[in-house]
Amino acid sequence: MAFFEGLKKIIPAKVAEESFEFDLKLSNSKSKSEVNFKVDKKNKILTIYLNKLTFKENEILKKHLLKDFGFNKLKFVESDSIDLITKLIAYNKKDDGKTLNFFENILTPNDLLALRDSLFLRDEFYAGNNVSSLKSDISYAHGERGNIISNLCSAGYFEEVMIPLYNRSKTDFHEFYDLAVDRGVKALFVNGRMSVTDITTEIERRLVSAHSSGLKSINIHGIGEKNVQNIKKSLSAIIEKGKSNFLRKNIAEESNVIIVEMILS
Amino acid sequence: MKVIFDEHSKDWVLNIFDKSVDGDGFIVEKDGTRIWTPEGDEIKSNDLAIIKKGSTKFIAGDLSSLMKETKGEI
Repeated sequence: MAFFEGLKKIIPAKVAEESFEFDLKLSNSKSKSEVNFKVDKKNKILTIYLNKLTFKENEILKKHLLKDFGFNKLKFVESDSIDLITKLIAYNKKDDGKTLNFFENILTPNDLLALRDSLFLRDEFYAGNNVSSLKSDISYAHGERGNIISNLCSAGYFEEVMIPLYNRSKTDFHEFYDLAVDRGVKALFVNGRMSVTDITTEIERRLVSAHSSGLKSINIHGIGEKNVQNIKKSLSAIIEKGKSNFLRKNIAEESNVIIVEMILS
Repeated sequence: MKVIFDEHSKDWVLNIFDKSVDGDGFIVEKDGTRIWTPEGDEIKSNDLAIIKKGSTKFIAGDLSSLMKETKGEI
């Protein structure tokens, strides 16, 4: 590569040759190093300290990087993105694409992209990783509709409810999908920002909405101790009022995860 | 080969491509025109994740963009 020929003019030729297949890290941070490079053989990274380069060395490095870039021999990657890129590459290798393939000619292209991102988010969530930035990304890229798709996906709706429903009746599936995604009626996903009053109001609103839409039930989902407790308090408050139109409730609870199915009368 | 940059070396890398950052944080051409991602969005320097060949593509670091990138769709 032209770049390594240029590199030999900046760092010792032997170091450049030893690092021939390494990734290159460009650092502009202050360094105590007396030389303008650092070799990390374990991770195969050659670091160049830009602020230790002379003007001429800077120009040589830029010129040769640009030359190899032009020949498509390298790409520039921001360090904070490497973790997500690595995870996505691994996920794309292991994912069988079964769920996504099923919905390929059923959902709109935009909903399908939201589902694809959501399936990765769910995988990360199951792996115990923090998914807050991924949730923000889905919201930014796909809007509120993407949020609903992501919530339905994380709760298993696509595999456990929608695929069987589609196989049974395409009409019923589309009616359900429209209700669940377009109106977000079927499932309420409680988050940490919702107070007991918020949850109570939202459940009551959805019970009315579901009743007028002919739905037989709505589901309330909560993850985390606070959300689980708040959902329970809201249910107690609704029962105490005695004015709601639900017949009975089924509660599934495990390890700070709660799913409440409210059967409508 | 990957050339890894961080927030401290980002301006240096943008300079290789004759790009800079405007007052609002967007990556711009020499004449101040904001550049676009392959998806047709203007891109802030803070959101930049990848620069790759193909008439020089500047790719954002959000999930949707990187999913497309890792699937070879960009």
